[in-house]
Amino acid sequence: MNSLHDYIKIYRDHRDLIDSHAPAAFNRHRPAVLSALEAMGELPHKGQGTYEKVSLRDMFGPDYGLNLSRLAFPSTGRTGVHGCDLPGAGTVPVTVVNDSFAGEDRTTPEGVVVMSLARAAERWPERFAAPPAMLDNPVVALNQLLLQDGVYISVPRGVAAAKPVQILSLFNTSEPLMGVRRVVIDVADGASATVIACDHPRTAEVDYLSCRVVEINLGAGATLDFNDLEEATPRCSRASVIIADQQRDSSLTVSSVTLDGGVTRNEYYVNHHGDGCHSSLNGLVIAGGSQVTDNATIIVHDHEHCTSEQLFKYALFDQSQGAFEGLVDVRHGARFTDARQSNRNLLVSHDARMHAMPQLIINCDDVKASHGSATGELDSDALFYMRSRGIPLEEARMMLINAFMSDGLDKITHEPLRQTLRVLVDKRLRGCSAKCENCSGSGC
Amino acid sequence: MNNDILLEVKDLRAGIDGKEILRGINLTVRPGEVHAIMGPNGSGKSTLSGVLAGNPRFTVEGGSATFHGVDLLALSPENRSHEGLFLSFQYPVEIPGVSMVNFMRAALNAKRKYFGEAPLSAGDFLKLMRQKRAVVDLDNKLASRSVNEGFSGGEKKRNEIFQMAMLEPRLSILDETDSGLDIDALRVVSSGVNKLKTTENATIVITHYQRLLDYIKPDFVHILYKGRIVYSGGPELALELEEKGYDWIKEQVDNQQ
Repeated sequence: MNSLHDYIKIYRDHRDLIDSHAPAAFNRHRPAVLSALEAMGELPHKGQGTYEKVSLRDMFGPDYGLNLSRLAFPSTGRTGVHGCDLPGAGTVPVTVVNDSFAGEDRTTPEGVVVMSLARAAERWPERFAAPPAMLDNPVVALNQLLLQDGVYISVPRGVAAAKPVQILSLFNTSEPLMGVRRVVIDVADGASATVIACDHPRTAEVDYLSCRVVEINLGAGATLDFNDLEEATPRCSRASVIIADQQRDSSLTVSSVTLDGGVTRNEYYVNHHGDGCHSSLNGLVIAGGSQVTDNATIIVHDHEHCTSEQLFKYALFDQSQGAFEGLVDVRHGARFTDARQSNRNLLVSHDARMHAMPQLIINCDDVKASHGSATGELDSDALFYMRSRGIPLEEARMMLINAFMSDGLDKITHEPLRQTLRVLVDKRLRGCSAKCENCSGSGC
Repeated sequence: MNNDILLEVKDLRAGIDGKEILRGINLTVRPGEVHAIMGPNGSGKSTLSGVLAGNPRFTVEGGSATFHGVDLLALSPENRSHEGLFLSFQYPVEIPGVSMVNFMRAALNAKRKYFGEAPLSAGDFLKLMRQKRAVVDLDNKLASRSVNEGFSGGEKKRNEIFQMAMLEPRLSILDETDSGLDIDALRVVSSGVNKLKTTENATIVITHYQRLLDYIKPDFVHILYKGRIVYSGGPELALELEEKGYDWIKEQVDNQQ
């Protein structure tokens, strides 16, 4: 079976249907996307390129449903769309149900636009006129081929968004579904914003695949803090690509937290288009069962005085597997670059596996760059020391794993979110499924 | 002193990775007593403390250790602690990311839970921390840092005695508490140990040097050599060792063999 051919066939067979439920600005690009996918031949398999632990071919292989005619699906019978407000966060909430923007478009008092991507593309076709980038990336191209809706966030010039925008993406169907999701975030010159994205299914009984692309555009001097939380189930797969383009003096922080899931592949691509940019990519992974979590980053430095830092930490339980491939590409002319990359992993069980490949390519003098990766087990001396003071073994293990995670959590700058995540991480480590308390009735 | 037996070790044999290190230890400790265990390098002093505290690194091959009537060797390290055993480590472990406060609170509340008591309130706990810090003049700043992280040698040992004060053990084993200490720190640490001494608890001091015993006065001195206690005596034995070294003991034992 060739899963890519299947998707191409779906597109060919249902092209009119897809187009009729999508804005012209998306439809215009589909022929080019189709050619790109056809040239690809097949989706990458495990071991190809940077796909060390994840096979996109297998991930996209099952026959998931696609909601091409934008029907309202019969729900799982559970309570409907719900809030996921982090305690005290006071967010601007947005919900994506399956792959559709749910609810009303809105503009906050300071002028931040949060709306359906499809309606945004109809309203501002010129904004979406440029041919899509990165069509050589299979996830991006597939997403673009089938794209019908998503979330658009726009922060006008000079505006500091008062409240974080929280995008709650839910799966809520009784049949297996692939959600084609896209988030476009434009932060204009001198503006700043915080976005929190949460990814949850409403049921653990159905297979879901999230095919998600996040496009981030930061204007000169703009700041974005993008927090990305995945708490799914073993029956969920996720292929996510975050593409960030930064103009001069802009600052980007992406913090990704994977607490529960099946197979997850997160890719991050950061490009600087001016001097003085700062990019920070952070990842925290707690995986158990047969969960597979794979993060791949590429940060390209090709301007002067840009800085980047990366910290990816994994705690792997049971037979879970993790992968981290990070590339810092310092190009000719990127003088005074300061790039740091660190990956640290804790194999909590003997059966857990980690693949780490931190890479630096430096084609410029006068730069500072460092990278490192370390994988180990819990410190047996520390465990005995704690037990000798009366701390039970399990508690001691939890404290050590929490301690291992703590500097990763410290990277999350949004205070209420950090506090909530601390609790979620602790709950997750204690074997409870880490649902946001407000997201699920199954608290433990 | 009374005649109850706090710890009775009989013919204790233990090793690591199949290599026998303790070859039949016999030791009886009563409440109120201070025992010093001395001996040359490699005689098994730290193994003895590790085995008594339950370090999983060591394998017990035979013998018994009864702690106020309880089979010590059958207990997990944490339950040994709850039952009143405390080991002051020769090399206290640094635990980055775990604050002293959380560490001590987890330890104390685990003990309370073991005895069916409710956890201490935050206020009571901090008050207790303050009180016990004073025993060894432990700086408040250290108490708010990660466990032993970045502590100097002396601070680490003070921290051990601080933990001992918090946990109020019935039997403390001080494993080379004098190593890495300058004279001032030695004074503070040993005065802390002396402050905690009562007629109900007991201390086993493991050391290379007589020096520590100037500060912590032993009632009994035992010499450990090749995994056995080969000689026991009063405090004067320590002075004799300081003067003559271990060779005469080694010779005696080796000749007997």
